[in-house]
Amino acid sequence: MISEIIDYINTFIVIPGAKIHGLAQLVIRKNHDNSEQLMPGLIHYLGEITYVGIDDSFPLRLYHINNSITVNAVNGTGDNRDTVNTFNNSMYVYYDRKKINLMPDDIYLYIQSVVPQKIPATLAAYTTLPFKSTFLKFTNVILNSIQVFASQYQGTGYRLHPEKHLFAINYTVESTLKKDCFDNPFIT
Amino acid sequence: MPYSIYTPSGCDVLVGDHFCSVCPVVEGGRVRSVVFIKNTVALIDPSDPTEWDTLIANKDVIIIPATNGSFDGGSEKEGPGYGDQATKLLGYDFQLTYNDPDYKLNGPHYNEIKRSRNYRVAYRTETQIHLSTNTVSIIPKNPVADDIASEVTWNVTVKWTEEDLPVPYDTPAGIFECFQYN
Repeated sequence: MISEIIDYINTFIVIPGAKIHGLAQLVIRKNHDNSEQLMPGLIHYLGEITYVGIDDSFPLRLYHINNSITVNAVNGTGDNRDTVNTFNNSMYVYYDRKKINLMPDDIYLYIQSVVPQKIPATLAAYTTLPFKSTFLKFTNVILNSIQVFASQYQGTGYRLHPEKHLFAINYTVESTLKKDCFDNPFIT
Repeated sequence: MPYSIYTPSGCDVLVGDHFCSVCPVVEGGRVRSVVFIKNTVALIDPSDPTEWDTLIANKDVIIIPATNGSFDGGSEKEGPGYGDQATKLLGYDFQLTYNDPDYKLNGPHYNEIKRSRNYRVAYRTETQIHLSTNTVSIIPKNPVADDIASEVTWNVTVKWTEEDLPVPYDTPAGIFECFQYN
């Protein structure tokens, strides 16, 4: 579900030449000397991994990571209490300031202005979400490239040139679950 | 001529036994479902689903299967007592408030039922239904909060006056489900 919501959010981020990826995960790469490096990748159903991290092929590259899900119960109807699942996500943005002459906060403000706060219950071409309501909220932005690099590329020394920026936009997707409207995903 | 006298028995003879349990099963709260029942029908056994099926088929009941809300337990009405009794309990003013989440299509329904004088009410807690005996007045509202994350629901207050408290009965199985008439 969250990957479909992320794909929907991404349709609003239109940056010429940019590569906008969906929900990625940190994967471990084992080197020939048995050392390990962490890096972000899109993991496909068949186990294939597409690297989505730092890459100068594109003026800007963006991917999302779901860090955790916080669960709360609120008042419901009938015999149930409603469950609010808050997906705690991060959007990682890498770009070359020589190609996109903007500061990181300018890019963040653009993303903040175009990404919708309310996610519709029915996403065209995706699925009907089993949520009463779904809201997106930006929570904070980490502009410290060294800090963000360390979180995404453990095992790799920091090597970004000053004109390359890597920052993280933290956001939540808060969704109130409609229990009766949830299709069993194990039955096709 | 002497008259024989007798002392009438008081109301204590009508007080039934109190039941207790070493391991009581707790009844969970919230007004979880609401039913409006036409005054012209009688329920012999409120726990019998067959009786309810007949009422549903004849449209003698309006079932709202999933609600949240509360029942105030009644505000007592007292009158002057007699003898050594300072006041006497005359009955209760009852108020039940519930929220109906099925908002969009029920405008005509609530505009019509608010004018009705033909219904009494039943409400369901976790495993029990409770019925009124007297006719109720139904006061629906549809307030909107200044919060995009809020939900617009029908907020309905049901009021009635009765001498007795609503008595719990076991909920009839399979009745409080969402259904539509053909």
